[in-house]
Amino acid sequence: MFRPALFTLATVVSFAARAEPISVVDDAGRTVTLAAPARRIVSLAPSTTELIYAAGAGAYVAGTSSYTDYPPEAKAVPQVGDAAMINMERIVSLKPDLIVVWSHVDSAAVLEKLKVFGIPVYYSEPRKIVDIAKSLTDLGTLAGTNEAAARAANDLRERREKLHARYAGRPPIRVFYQVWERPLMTVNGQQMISDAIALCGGVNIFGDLAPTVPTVNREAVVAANPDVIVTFNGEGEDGLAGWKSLTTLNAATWGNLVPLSTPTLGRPSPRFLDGAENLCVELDRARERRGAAAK
Amino acid sequence: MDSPQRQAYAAHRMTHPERRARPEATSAPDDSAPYRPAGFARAVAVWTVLLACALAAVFVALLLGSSDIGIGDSLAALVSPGDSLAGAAVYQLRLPRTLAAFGTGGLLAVAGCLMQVLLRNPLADPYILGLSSGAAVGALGAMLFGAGLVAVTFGAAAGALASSLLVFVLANRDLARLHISTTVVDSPRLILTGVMLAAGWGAVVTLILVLAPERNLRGMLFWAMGDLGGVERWWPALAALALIVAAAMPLLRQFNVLLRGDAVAATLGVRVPALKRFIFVAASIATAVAVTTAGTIGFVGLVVPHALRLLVGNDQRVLLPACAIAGGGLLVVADTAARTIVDPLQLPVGVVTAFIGVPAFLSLLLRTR
Repeated sequence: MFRPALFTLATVVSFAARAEPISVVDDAGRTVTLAAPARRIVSLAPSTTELIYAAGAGAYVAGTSSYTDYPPEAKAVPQVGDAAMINMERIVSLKPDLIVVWSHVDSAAVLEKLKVFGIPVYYSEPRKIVDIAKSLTDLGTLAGTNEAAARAANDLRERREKLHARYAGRPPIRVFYQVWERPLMTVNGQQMISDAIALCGGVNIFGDLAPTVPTVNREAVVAANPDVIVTFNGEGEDGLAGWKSLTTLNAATWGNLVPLSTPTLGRPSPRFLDGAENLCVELDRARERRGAAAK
Repeated sequence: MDSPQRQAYAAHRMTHPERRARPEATSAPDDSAPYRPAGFARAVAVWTVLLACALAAVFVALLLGSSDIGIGDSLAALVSPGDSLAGAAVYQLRLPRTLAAFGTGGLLAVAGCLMQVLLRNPLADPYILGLSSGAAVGALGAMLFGAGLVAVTFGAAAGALASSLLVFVLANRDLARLHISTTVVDSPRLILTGVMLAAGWGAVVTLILVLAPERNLRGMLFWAMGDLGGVERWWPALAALALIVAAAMPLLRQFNVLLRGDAVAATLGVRVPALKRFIFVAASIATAVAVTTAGTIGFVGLVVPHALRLLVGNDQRVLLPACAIAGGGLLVVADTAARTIVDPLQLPVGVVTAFIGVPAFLSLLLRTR
């Protein structure tokens, strides 16, 4: 029922633009081809919404997901639910010409259904900080905002380079990154937060574990005895209180139980660099405290 | 001298001569001897064996841990902790966690035993009346308002107690009523009230998870699977366990009579409504403390009472204290396995209790037929 209409629409648009088809390879290794730059984009995660806006294609966002909070103007865009509960009719009624998905979501069944409507899907799943730049340029290509996207991507690479030049060579500091206190969760080396830790000259003590977000036991942390324990506390929380009483823990005795002030390390978007900068500064302070304690 | 229990047994023997063959009836003391619980020596023997096993489990739990800290180091640290890494691991991490595990496991098994007596239903477990989902609603509700860990724990306790209070008020008539019929399940209204409330709480949990601005599924994991890693205080569970067992001890003979049905128990001089209320309140407090300490750990409360029933019989005087010891021991073993098998990773303890308990229980069931 929709297919002929969409087909006609696509034909008309492609004739009007008379452009070469646009094609990029996404993070799932699939080739995404558009006949013309995307003008009605539906984004299914807060992070991909941020990426699209940063790539200069904010004006073409027709739908976003639940929990969209940045940039502020994105909050005014109609929402189509989140990865767990996508409102299919809402998506289709928005007549999107591109759907952008953070592939870390279990929405495969829903996306299968979307195929029926012939809407192209772009998967963005950056693993390293530089992969964010790839997502930015891809999205810029798909939306025809190549220049803005290239600027954003370059800006991101430069900020990363600057941090790398300044901090990556400093004396290594062993880091336990606490994602969650109860149960105690951390990240392994595949997770982007580990990339930020390495960028700041830190070593993730659980980098070798197999799960991306492993649940570890407290004793393993005490035995590994990291130089610093880092977390992001929610409102009114003190997730690090449990470590304070452990006198054999260097991080506790050196005052290296560090709450981060930026929540953006949880989100693979250009704002991730804000979090990384904050992390580098905090790790460097922790390094100084370690040095002072050693004297 | 002329205790309700003796009257009960005397009356019971007169009204149910055919049941004389049962162990309880035959082992009941004759009227001339001073009263002593049936098989007291055997009960003490059962408890001693279980306690020895539990203590061994605690000892092993203190020695095993991270692969970076050897058993020898742990043993040395156990004797003289000093300021060593092993000392900190044994006394600051393993000991509180093990004690909390023992208390929680004991509470769950006792609560399960009490619920099975109260509802006279073999499928009854500590969570059957909706207490754990009530706790989850309280905890998630607190998280929804951005509360910290302390407030979330408090929310869980409040949710659990509010949930059981609601069951109590709604089903109070049922607790107070005597069910004359002994042919059908005796407490349909109480159990249905609880199960309905559990379903309602479950829906509220789902609703919160869908509507919450930040879907913190990781925090939710704790309330769904249980975890002893983040235990802050070890003593509430142990203290609650000791108090509840102590309070129940003098009443256990009446529990035995209650199992014969409300009408029989009432005829034999048991104040059935008061006794049922006591069981309900004790089981609720036990479960609430356990859930607040370690989240919802399944299996222990259902299977420990049944397994012990197969081993030592259904005399509540032996069974209930045995549940407290064996439940605690089982959870200590399970928690030790959960934190050491895939070290430094940690398994959900509820999975381990099931892996240990299901084969053990089934083999017991097959052997005793």
